[in-house]
Amino acid sequence: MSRPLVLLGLLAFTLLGLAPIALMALRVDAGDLHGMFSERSSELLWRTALLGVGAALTALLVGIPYGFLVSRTDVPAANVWRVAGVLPILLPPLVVAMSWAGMTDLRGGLATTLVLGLCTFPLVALYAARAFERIDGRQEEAALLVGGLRTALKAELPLVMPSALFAATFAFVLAINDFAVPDYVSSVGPKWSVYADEVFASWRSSKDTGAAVASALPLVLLTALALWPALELRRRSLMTSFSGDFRAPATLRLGVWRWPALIFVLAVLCASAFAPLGRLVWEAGGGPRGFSSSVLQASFERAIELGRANLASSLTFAVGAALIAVPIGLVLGHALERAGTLGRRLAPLVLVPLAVPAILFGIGGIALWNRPITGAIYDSGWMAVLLFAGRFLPFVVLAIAAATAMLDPRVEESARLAGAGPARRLARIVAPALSPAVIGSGLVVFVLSMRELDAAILVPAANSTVLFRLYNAVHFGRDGYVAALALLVVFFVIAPGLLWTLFCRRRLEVLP
Amino acid sequence: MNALSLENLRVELGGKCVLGPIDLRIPAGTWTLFVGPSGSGKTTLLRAIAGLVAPVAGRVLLADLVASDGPRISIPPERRAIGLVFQGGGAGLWPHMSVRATLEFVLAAHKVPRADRARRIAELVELVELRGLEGRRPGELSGGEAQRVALARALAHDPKLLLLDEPLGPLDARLRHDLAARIHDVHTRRGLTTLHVTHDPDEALPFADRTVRLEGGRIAVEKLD
Amino acid sequence: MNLPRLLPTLGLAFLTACSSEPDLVVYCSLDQEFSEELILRFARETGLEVRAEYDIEANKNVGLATRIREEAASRPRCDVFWSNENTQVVAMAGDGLLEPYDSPSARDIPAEFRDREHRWTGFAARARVFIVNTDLVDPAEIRSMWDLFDPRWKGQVAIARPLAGTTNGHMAALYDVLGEAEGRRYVETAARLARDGSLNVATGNAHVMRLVRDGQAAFGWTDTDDFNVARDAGFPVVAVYPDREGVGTVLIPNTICILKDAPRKDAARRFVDWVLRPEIEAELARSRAAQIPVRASVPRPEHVVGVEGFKAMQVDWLEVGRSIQQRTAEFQELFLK
Repeated sequence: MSRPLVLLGLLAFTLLGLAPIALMALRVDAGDLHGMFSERSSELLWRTALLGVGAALTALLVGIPYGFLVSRTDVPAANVWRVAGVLPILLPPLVVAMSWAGMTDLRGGLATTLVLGLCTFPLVALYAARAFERIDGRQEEAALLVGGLRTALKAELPLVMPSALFAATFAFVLAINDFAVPDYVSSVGPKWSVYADEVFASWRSSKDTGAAVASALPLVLLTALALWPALELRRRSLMTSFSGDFRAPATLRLGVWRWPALIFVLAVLCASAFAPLGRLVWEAGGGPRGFSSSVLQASFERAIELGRANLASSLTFAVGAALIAVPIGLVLGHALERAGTLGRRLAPLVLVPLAVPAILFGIGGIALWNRPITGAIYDSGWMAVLLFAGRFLPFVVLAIAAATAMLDPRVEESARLAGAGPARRLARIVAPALSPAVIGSGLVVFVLSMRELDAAILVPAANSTVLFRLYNAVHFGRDGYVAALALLVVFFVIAPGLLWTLFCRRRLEVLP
Repeated sequence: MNALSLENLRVELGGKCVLGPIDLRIPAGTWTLFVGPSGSGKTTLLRAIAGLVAPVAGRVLLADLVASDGPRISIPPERRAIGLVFQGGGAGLWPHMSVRATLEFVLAAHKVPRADRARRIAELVELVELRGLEGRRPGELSGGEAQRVALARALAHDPKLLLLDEPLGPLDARLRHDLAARIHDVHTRRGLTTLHVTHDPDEALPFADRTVRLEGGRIAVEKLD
Repeated sequence: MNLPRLLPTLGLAFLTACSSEPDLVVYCSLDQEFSEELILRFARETGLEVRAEYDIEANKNVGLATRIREEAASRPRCDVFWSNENTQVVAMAGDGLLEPYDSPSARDIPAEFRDREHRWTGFAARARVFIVNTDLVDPAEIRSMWDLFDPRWKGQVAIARPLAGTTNGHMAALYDVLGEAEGRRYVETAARLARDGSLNVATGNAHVMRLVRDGQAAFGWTDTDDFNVARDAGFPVVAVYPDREGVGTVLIPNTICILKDAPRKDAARRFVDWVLRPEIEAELARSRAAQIPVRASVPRPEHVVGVEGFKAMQVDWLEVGRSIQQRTAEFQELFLK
């Protein structure tokens, strides 16, 4: 590791990811903490925690079998469903919620849990799939000989669970921080409020920003409590991976269960992605007033005409954020893994930008960058780029750290013995060797930046993003155009990953 | 003169002493064979000499220069002029680099002028008989070819000390014999000091000037051949 | 792609594109669809370079007001705040954030829409109305704001959560107009019925409009501009202005103000003068926003009910603005359970 490079990386991470949060934290004084855990807000927090657990459980129950089926069995077109299984995580959960609210009468807490569970199951599926693929073929064969597929799965599930649970903690975190889905889904029937509502409401009801920041602390603590075991689970999931002379497991034949398995996979995809996308297409084509292709075309034309510049801005910000986050994440992620105990101690710090509600991050961004000396940055598109980079940098760091853990240390040692210094080793040896993770995590930053609104809404550059236009259009009920614009956003979000999958043989490593 | 001296060297891994104390002098230009059962500390010994693992006590001297004193590393691995061939067919090779790019990388790291690199690469390729395979990446080479690339890479920067960690392990008998002879040829021609770790003493006995047997992390037997 | 060359190029492009200082910075929470064209026209007519920034209607948006307050603490940036409602602006005036300016264009605006100290001026308003689905209910049966709680309509009525936007100001105004006890009773009743599902709580006024127009609710509180969107699209809806014989209904104007620390006050005054002209009110009335001119003399389309066409609540907005945060905290306690 290059100390100067690592220090530079830490400095960049501190500036982009930690400083906005620190500035917010400094506003809180002892008096603001009073009443933080009132009976009402405690009840909200408890309900929110239950929501998170429910969503995580749903993600596990759906994601583990899904991941297993598409990675290890002879389900027809398994490879296609594996790629398609990523779609739900790319769709804004509110879009999924709106579709299901329009198609069913399911409302309230149960509906919220199901929607958020379905939106986050791809995380569990991706991790579970990878974990199943890393089971040594000989271990599996030994179990199959003892008692067939059921016995093999019984033996393998404990090996897969650390990875699956790690992903489920992220499903938990995403669920408890979601505001829009619970609000929308309980618009009809009993209102179901969550703690994220409390955070937003506090900004409107508190003159004292310290009190408003303090109101977010319980949610931050809950998020941190979930992310802490995540690091340990991640460490364990890496330990159960390849060892020695690994032999890849064979494809498992399901026999008569092949077609029911396919139905399960398709049902999951329909519920989580195809139905919402289908509904968007239907709305773009006229929706309840009658679908027609001419209306569909007109909707897309209008969406392109009005949203073209916004799409270009969003794409630019997202690409910029990825280009900034990836080099910093490469340096820090590699250092985190190679630094041993020190790295394990610093790992929780990496998660801080994710643990904080987006609104705090956004307001912290104003406090940090809206100063005379940095005013030009604040006023420009750079503000959105830096905000996104800082917020999503943890994904890059964790993905690179995980990939580094899988990299044979001798690859770096031989470069060291060959005379290459740490910076040269990182750039010429480590980065190319980790290219699936480098590119994959860059794509994650890109996708999340395209979808981000909560943190960005507070800065000048937000006005030019496509999500900003989308929300404004929703307000005025321009359904066809809104649906078409939402489909365009989805297309641009999934396009890079889709192109990579179609034209590149190497599978991307997007997982932290 | 001794190319390598180990004074009271001790290495711990996970709080457990896996090597040492070791006292050893290796004269320049000699071939020393290290044998012993699995877990006896042979690989750890090579890694400690290369500076890839820090000892808890003792000194490593390279041609009378202190390379490490206890955990303090005075000469980092990249400046020790050591070539190391790892255990396993082509282990530690850079998967994204062709044979040519691999050797080019080492030469560039040692600031060999661009004008000289092509010639040096050609010499190395000739030395390990990899002519015609310069454009291939590790994934496109056989086990024997990969080990020869690893050898060429270890020699590219003109090391004084060559460390071989079971270099012949994954190869069949005929290839083992050929590669061993080739390595010995290089050792002789370049006047290298070679430390060869193996669990099979027969594979390099004809070339060894001395044999050191390790058991439980300590020298059990040391004899001149 | 040569990364070492790309980054500086991107950076240069960004900074070059954005580094020119504008002549005026306007923050506008009236929907971009309507305000943007007007602001661009002002820029064309005056030759001033105007940087306009907009807002989104979403409960989760803390609003431009929060941003203005944050920026004022470090580097004031905004010159003019054009808000689509008034309570936040009144609160800002109370906190000393606004610059008094008695615009000549505002002289014919009724006094109830102007701050006594000229810190803000109201224009182009929206009324709070019940949007009623005529396929589900006879609008004649809806006469009072209290009909929202009639057990006949259990589960068929809707309101936006009163923690943001005009619903927030509306509920806060009830305390002033009905008195503390009655105002609280209205809000507490709404909160109680929301919890058991008798009253549907939507994500915003536009969502209430969609619920009613799609038949998922019979009627609900919304603004006249949202109602107009449904009417314009041909849905079976009408607007009911409740309590015509009683306290009337809330009329919420757009408000415009100059920030005390505005870096470009001259340009700010020019813009305020331009916006407050009757022609702009007329244009906003003609637009899909269907804003109600506060001046009775300003021409408007037939479907836009003028201020004389319904009874507007007499609200002491100064008092409402002063107490808005306290009220919002109370609504938070009632609705977030």
